[in-house]
Amino acid sequence: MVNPLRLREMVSLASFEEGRGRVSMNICRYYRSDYIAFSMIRTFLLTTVGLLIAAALFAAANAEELLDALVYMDIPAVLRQAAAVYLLILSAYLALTFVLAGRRYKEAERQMNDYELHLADLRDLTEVPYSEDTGDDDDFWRT
Amino acid sequence: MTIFGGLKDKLTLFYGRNSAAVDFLVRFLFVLAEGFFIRSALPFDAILSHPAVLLVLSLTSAVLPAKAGAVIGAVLLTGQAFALDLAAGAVTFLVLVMLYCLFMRFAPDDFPAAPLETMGAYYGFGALVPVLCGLRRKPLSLLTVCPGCVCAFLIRALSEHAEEVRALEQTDYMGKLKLLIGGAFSDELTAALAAVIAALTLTYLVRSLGIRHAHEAAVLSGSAIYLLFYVFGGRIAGGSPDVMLAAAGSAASAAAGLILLMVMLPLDYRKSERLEFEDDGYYYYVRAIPKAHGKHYVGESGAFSANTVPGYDEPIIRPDIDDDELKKKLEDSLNDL
Repeated sequence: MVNPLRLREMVSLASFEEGRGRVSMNICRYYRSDYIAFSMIRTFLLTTVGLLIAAALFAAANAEELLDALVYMDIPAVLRQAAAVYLLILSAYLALTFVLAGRRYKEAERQMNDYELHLADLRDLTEVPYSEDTGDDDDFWRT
Repeated sequence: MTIFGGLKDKLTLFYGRNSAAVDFLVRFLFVLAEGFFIRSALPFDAILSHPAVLLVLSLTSAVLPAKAGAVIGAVLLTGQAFALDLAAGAVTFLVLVMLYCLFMRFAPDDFPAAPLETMGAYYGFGALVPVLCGLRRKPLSLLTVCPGCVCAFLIRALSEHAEEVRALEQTDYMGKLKLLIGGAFSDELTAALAAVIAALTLTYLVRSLGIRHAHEAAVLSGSAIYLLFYVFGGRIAGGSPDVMLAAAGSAASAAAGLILLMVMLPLDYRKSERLEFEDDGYYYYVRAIPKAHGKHYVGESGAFSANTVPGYDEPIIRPDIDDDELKKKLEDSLNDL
């Protein structure tokens, strides 16, 4: 006989595994520190690429002015300023990533805890025979 | 109000029965609309913009995750720009990569805010997506909405300067780059971004206040501040924004936001919220507590009770109770009965 409670749990679990749970499962494969470190390395690389592209686009749009100013420009000072701006933006991004990755890991952990609780519920329902009359198990109370 | 309540019930029921087909259809239509929008905004002869190709891409994206819609939009946009000119294509590609690297990768996967904002901002309805994001999402959605606004200005620059780019010499890459980058990243874009940030932030803040009719006030204030920033910011930036179009867009965004509020109960399911709504007979003043916060909580009475939950905003974890002990207790109480 089909136990509707068990069926509902199974559908809910399958839906979680196929949907939002997939991301949570991937995240929870790592330790928290590893996940955050991996996210920060990715942020470092992508932010560097993004800022390089932004600098290239800015230089391309103002190429004539930049070439004119190159003669009078204190190049080491400009490079120092550019490095300072880069480090400032990078630090902001790394801090944001640290916070977001930590939150994301915590949320994934909470979802996985919830998932495991549901799995335990399903295990209980599988062990207990189902009676249609009461919608619950009679033998359970007799034992 | 009752009509909207009934409509919501019918829609929920219909979606519950046909969710797979509805999801497929919505994704398909969304990418198709995106494709035709890019095709109409940039009418250059690229193979990617052929209706048959658009149809195939839309069908493909319908079976892929929601993020695929944005990726396909980016590919179509780059293809159209390359059809205009090599320099235009390179600029578009680099701008899209930069937006992804700096902003879009923080965006949530499930909401195609960026393409929607691109279409909205292009046609003058730039307030709609920030207001909706402020109602339903967190301020972090700015990282998705702002790139959408940048894409709208990029498309506008490509469309407006197409003839000038074609008129320039084939090898005058610097001239083309200057024209396109200068056109896209103008002071008007800064004003539009400020308007988007102000609208989303204000909507989020007002709807979180817990005052009477907070959600309605949030929609109206968000739309109004967008109009204010867009018009005055644009003027200060030296542009000449179309006031009538902006006002009509903001009014339409406010109307759409209010209609959506009536159809959907504005809950974000992450924290407890105070809600007020009404039907023909009653006013309801409700405190909504997400089930996830109390789902596994078992109090001393053995059941979840809102009064026993210490603080609604914190997730509650079921205390460790030995199953055998629990069964024994239950048996004892039954024997007593």
